[in-house]
Formats: sequence, structure tokens, C-alpha cells
Amino acid sequence: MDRRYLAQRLMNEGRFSREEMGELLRKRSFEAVEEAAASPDCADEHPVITAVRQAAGGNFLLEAASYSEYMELFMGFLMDFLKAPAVVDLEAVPKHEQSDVFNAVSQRMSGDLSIVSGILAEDAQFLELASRYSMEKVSGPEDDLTVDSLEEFLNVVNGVFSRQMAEKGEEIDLEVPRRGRLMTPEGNQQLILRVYVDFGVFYVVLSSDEFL
Amino acid sequence: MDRKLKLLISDDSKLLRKKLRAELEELGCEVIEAENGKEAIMKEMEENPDGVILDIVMPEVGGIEALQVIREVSPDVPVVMLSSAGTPQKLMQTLKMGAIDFIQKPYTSEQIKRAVEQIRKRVKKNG
Repeated sequence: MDRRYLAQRLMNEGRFSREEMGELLRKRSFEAVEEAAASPDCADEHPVITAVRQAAGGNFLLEAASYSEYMELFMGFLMDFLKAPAVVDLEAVPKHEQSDVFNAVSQRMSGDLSIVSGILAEDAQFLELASRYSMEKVSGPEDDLTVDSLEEFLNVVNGVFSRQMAEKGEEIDLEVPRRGRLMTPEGNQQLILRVYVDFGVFYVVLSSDEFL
Repeated sequence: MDRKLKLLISDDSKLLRKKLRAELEELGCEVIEAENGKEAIMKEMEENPDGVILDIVMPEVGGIEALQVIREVSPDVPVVMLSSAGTPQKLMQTLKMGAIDFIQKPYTSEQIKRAVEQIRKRVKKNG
């Protein structure tokens, strides 16, 4: 079992609520997670995939497989490159819940399948994500280096995803990332996922066309 | 002692250029930057670098188009692709077009070091 996904597995099994897990991540206190994970009834090898499928809730029949596979890769990069312990919420964010202005980056992948992935975050989380990936001091959410860092993070994840898809016979090309600020992402077949990290919450948007 | 290599790096990411510049300078190279394929083509002609490191997904002119033009105007200049878009199809396409190597992001310092060595060997071979 990949230990990076222990927290996700335990949340999926209902052993920690969203609030409890958020609290554990913020405190980076994982003893309880490790203890609970030691029990033998933890069996799911792909808890991120399970969580995304649950969040999709029977919608997105055609996209669910690629969305969940994408998120497993994304979460792995988040933990490895940004050193951010993280879990995906088991409930998708309903469109009407989006009310604040978010900083956003997105990138379209097109070819045998069309998928757009994006990161949405409020100022503090956007800055922290950028600063951890770049290992540079970033000055503000609209600063070029901040946005550029997150575009590059997305580009690297998407590049590896495109290679995974190619191994399954699906060729996809990456387009140039986009950036912006928005209140409500508007894409088709859109799934918005809440991601809990040790510095709060941000969102990953997946859709079949550009939402930014 | 080997002379200092002059390398052109082309990537639309400011962060990538900054990190790569630092790695290449550490390896004793002089670095010129371009932020898209069009600028890479112009700088390649103006600055006559010893080698080029090219991203694929860039605005205005992409890396594959830039590779094509650079191979035509400077057929001896070694080009290394450094891109996130590392599918086998892209790899084969760029190697067939004359790139000497393809590094998929995220790269390691060891891969960059090897690419610089490959460029250095080509430069020596071409006299």
C-alpha cells in the first residue's frame, strides 16, 4: 500500500470526518492516522480513485475513469513535490457554492480525449502552493512568478498524465496553460473537488472544455 | 580545458528558465533565454549558441515548429527537447526531426548534466 494515501483511505472509510481530517492535516499530526491504518481492514489500494468516483456520484459516466486517474496522479505530485499531505473530499462542490473570487490556472489536454484541469484557490492557499512548488519567495497572488509556478506545476502533472494515457493507446496533446481570476468556473461535465492540505483548502476543477 | 558552452534555453515558464539557468551556470555554461518558439528561432540566428534546449508547449510558435526551423537554418546545432509533453509519439517525432535527446519534466540535475555532455561532444565533433 502506498502510504501517501493512508489519510485518504481512512477518510473514505468514514473513520475520520472531513473536519477531523482537516484538523489533523493542519496540525500535521498523523499518529492517529498511522494507528488506525495499522488495522487489517484497510484494503483499498487506490483510495483517491475511490474518493473521486464517490464525489462524481454516478455522474460523468464517460469521464469518471480519466478524472479519477488524473486525481490520483495529481495528489501524488502534491505530496511529493509540494510536501503537502492531502486528501480529496468525498463530496463534489456544487456550482452554487462558488461565491468568492478565486485565483485560477488551467490547462487543456485534447486529442483522443478532451480534459481540462485547473487549480482554484483563495489568495493564501494560492501563494502557499506556488511558494512550495517554486521554492521561491512569491509576493502576491497575481505576481507573475506565483501564477507561472502553478501553471508549470499543472503542466508537469498533465505531461505525466498524457504519457500514462499514451500507454493505454490514447494520444493527448497539451495546450498552453491559462490563468485568471473568477467566481464560478463554467465548464461542461465539470467536477469541482475540494482538496484539504496542511495549509487549508483549495479546489481542483476537471471538465471536458475550458472553464476559465 | 573545455571552453564555456553557450546554450539557448526556450520555455514559456519563467520559473523553469530561472531554475534551468542556475543549473547550467553551475555546470559552467553561458545561458541565453527565450520565452517562446519564435523568440528561440530569432535568438538562435542572432546569438549562434552551441546548443539549444527547447520546450514543446509554448505560445506563438511551439517547440516542434521551432525545432524544424532551427534544423533548417543551423543543421549542426544540437537540440535537446525538455518538455512535459513526453509521449512516445512526441519523443519519436522530435528525434526523427533531429533532436539529440528528449528529457521529460520533472527533470533531474543528472539528466541536465548528461544533456550538456552530449552537446559538448557534438560541438567537439563538429569542430
